[in-house]
Amino acid sequence: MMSNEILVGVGEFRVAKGAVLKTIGLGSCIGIALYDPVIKVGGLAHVMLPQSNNGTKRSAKYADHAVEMMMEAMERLGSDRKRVIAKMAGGAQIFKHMTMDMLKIGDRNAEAVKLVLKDYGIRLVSEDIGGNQGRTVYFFTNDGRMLVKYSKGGELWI
Amino acid sequence: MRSIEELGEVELDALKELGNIGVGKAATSLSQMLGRPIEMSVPNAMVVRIQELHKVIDVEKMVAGVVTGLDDIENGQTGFLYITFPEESSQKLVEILIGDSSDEEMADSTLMEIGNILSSAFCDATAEMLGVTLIPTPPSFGRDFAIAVIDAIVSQLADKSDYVVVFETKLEESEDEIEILVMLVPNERFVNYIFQLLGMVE
Repeated sequence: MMSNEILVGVGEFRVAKGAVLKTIGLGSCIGIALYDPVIKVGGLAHVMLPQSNNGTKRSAKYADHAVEMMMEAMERLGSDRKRVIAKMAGGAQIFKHMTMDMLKIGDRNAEAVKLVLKDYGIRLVSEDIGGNQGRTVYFFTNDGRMLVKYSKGGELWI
Repeated sequence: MRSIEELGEVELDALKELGNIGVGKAATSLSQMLGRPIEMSVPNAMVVRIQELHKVIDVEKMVAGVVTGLDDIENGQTGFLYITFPEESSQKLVEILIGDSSDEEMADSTLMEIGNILSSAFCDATAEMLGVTLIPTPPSFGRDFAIAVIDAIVSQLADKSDYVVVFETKLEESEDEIEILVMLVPNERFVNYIFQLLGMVE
């Protein structure tokens, strides 16, 4: 356990300076991190769905809303959109045997995140997407590193 | 349509009763299949904010999980049944049923079959009470973190609501310490069945 660790729940986002943001058990969901390296402020969102529908309440469960809300929160802390970079992990296909096609949302989530980032002109510097394992993600807002731990063992820094 | 947030204590009690009958029947089927007594724990029914799912699900626990959709012939999907087997229990179950758990494909199929039987029994029992015909979809299967296995399903529900309603109970076989967690995750349609059952909706 790391001290100053903040848990980001399913469909939530958190922005912090100095703390370690953590989100647990990403399956088809995606962890998106935004980071401003100059003022060392970062955010992490646990996104569940690719796109909000017209008129839905703003919520970080949608990829588009999550980036928008996180960016706004970071700007309030003095961040400049032009400096912000992004990292992401998740979007796996956990079911080995699957009968319901609608459950294949890992890929769609990943693509949606890329489109949103492009819209915002935010550069995606690294990613760890797909596969068939769950991930737990730690985002270190003091230096912008992201640690991905796999459910079946092994880890990766991105 | 009523929404999940509108579920009060009375409705949760009704859901608990419904779940009880459903899982009770499922437990009987499993007990017949294994030739051993199966006990059912006191169930729990609750409305949970999706952001707080980690408070009710042991999210980082590794499980073998079977998911079946509950389809109403006339009205479409009404929710999901999520059956999880902790690693050790899944192994023991497979050993009891087919003698050997070393072949992973066979083990997976066996667990899916158990899922099938549990969900069919569950559908029969609840459908009788609700007066609708529920059919389980063929099972989907994965081995991973308990939350990672169902996040695709929770995502489907999240599009409609910030809350999920969960009914859960444990099936236990004492001799081999086998444990199975059964969760019913109904969607709005199922919730409306409950309101209808209670005569609150015309």
